[in-house]
Amino acid sequence: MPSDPLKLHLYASLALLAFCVFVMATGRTPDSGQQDSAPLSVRENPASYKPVYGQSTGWIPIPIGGGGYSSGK
Amino acid sequence: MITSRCPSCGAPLVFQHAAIASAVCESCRTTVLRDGPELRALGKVSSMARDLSPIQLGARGEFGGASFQVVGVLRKARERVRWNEWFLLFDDSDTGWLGEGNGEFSLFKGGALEWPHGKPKLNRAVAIAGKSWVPTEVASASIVAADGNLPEPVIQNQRFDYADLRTADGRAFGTVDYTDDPVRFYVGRPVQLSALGLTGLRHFAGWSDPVMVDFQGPEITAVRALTCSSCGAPISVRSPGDTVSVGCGHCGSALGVSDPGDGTGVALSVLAKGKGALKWKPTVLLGARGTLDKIEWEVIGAMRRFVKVDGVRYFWTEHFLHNPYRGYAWLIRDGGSGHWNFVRRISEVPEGARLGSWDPVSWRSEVFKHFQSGKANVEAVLGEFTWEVRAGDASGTVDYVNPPLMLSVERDKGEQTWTMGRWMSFDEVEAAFDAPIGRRPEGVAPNQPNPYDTMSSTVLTRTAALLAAVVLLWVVNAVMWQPAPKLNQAWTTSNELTTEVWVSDPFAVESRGGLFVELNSDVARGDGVVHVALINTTSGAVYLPPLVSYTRNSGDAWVRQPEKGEYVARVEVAKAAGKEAYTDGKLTRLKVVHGKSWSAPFIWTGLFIALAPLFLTFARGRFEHARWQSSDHAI
Repeated sequence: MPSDPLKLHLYASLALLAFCVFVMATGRTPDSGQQDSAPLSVRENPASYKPVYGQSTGWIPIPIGGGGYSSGK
Repeated sequence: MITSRCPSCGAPLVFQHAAIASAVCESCRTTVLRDGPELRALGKVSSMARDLSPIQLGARGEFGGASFQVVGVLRKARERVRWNEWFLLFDDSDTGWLGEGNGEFSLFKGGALEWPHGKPKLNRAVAIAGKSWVPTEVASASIVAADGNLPEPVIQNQRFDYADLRTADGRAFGTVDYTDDPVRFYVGRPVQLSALGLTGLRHFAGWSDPVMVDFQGPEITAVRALTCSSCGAPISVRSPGDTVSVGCGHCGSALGVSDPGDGTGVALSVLAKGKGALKWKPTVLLGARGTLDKIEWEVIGAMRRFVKVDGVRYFWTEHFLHNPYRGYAWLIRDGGSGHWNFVRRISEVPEGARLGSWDPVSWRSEVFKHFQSGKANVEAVLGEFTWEVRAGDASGTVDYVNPPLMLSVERDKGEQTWTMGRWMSFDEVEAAFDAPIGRRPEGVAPNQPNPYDTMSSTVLTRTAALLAAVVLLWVVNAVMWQPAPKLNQAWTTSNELTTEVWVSDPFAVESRGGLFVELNSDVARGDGVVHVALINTTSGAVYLPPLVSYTRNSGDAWVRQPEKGEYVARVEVAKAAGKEAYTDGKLTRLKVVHGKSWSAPFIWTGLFIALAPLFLTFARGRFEHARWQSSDHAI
């Protein structure tokens, strides 16, 4: 790791540039969210899919007094 | 020119000009006075040893537009100091003197001024001809040798009282001789020998010079082989004309070098007895030769010195360099950092220099900042020096910097010596001596040039090139990855249902590339939450992009490289209990785009590259901070 700030900046810039080349060549995009798999019944009737609740999917239960989600209705 | 015969031995005697009144007979060493047609023998005087100076009788040069010839010489000496005064005859019939001492030269031409004062006092300025003159030396000396034609007759050991003075700026040099009647003040100025266009110089064996190449006469070996007066070990004196003290490496004794006035030039005596052989050795050994600034130098002396700060000793080595045609210089190596400096004495006194002050000084319109003041102590001495020095000596020092230069002053016993140092790279010094010179330097030297000062244009050019590359890549990326809209569908909520689920129209993903999903819903986050699932009805893969936050039911997200196949989007609005009425008639829109190019990396890379000038400023500042950490002004 160079101690020269300018060299550090140059190497970091070249590394970022290399990543840009990689993105350009592969069309890479970021990824977020979770992945699940659906049985045949859901594939035939997508409305019947029962989602997984959790923070990472953005399916966040609202904290309210009484009641809650009623899903899958 | 007048030719005659010596009244003592009858040998031929030449007076180069009718105005010259005295000559020394080469044959019998008699000083002869020419008084009209008569010649009178006045006494004997020793001849000057030939190896004491590159100048010799018959050498010619130029000064102030007039040519001159060296026709005579006086060698004068007092305790531990000796010098030569060469008598010059100019083609315009004028006469002058070329003073030579300690590797420095001063030239006096023309008549002398009247001296209106009594005996001057050391360092107490006097006014003469509208200028302020500072006496730098008030002493008595004697003539130890003479040769050739002289304006007045001299005899061996003839004593005289004199004073040397300088103007405050060091540009003029004067001397007053009290043996004269009336007392006269001779005004001259410092000169470089190489600037006088000298021809007919002595050729010292093994030495050459890029400018002074016209030699006359046989080669002379300028090394004296002597023996230490304390231990009897062999001692070489390489600069017999100016060397005043020698440190013996075998016994550690400090030896004085004097001119006994018998024509031999040098004699040794013990100044201080040593305690044994020196354990320390200089980085560049005595006798080594190297070419610095196109001039060849020989190391004739070295000393180890230190300053003590907060109880810690910081050492450095001073290598004393000599060239018979160029005088003397120093090559200094810092013991801690290993940095090198090439140093020469200067005659001009910088403006603004005051004892004890930290104010900057200026020299030839350049400003030098105070770096550090201290007391330099001598720990060990080896080889020759043109001043008396021994272990234990101490003097006050002040350094001022203007990289790559360093102005330094050393004050000792009322005398002060100014020098100018130039930082030299390790590679430069190693190449000069073509020999190992220790480890590479570390840290930042006080007068080391800041490498970042000259990098602005390089950095700007580089930044522009990198930015151009990023922009090019960005454009190509946008052209290569054209987005294909796959879904753009909206739904309206109804207040009758606590949960509403919609399934979108199907869309196909048939090639590589990510999915960019955008959700915009008018359903308030407190009234309900919208969930989106992308379901591959071909493979069963389900992607759950995080589109909502704690505050909004809107957002966007990427799905990288989804499996190929047929997709539908399942959109669910899960309402909070009792909030159904608030969600009535709210619009929710979902867009899905395939193959959209990802721009963020290019934008962030471009912004980072554009920070280069900031990094340059930081690097430059960090270098300066490191430089000043070893100064008296450390933060």
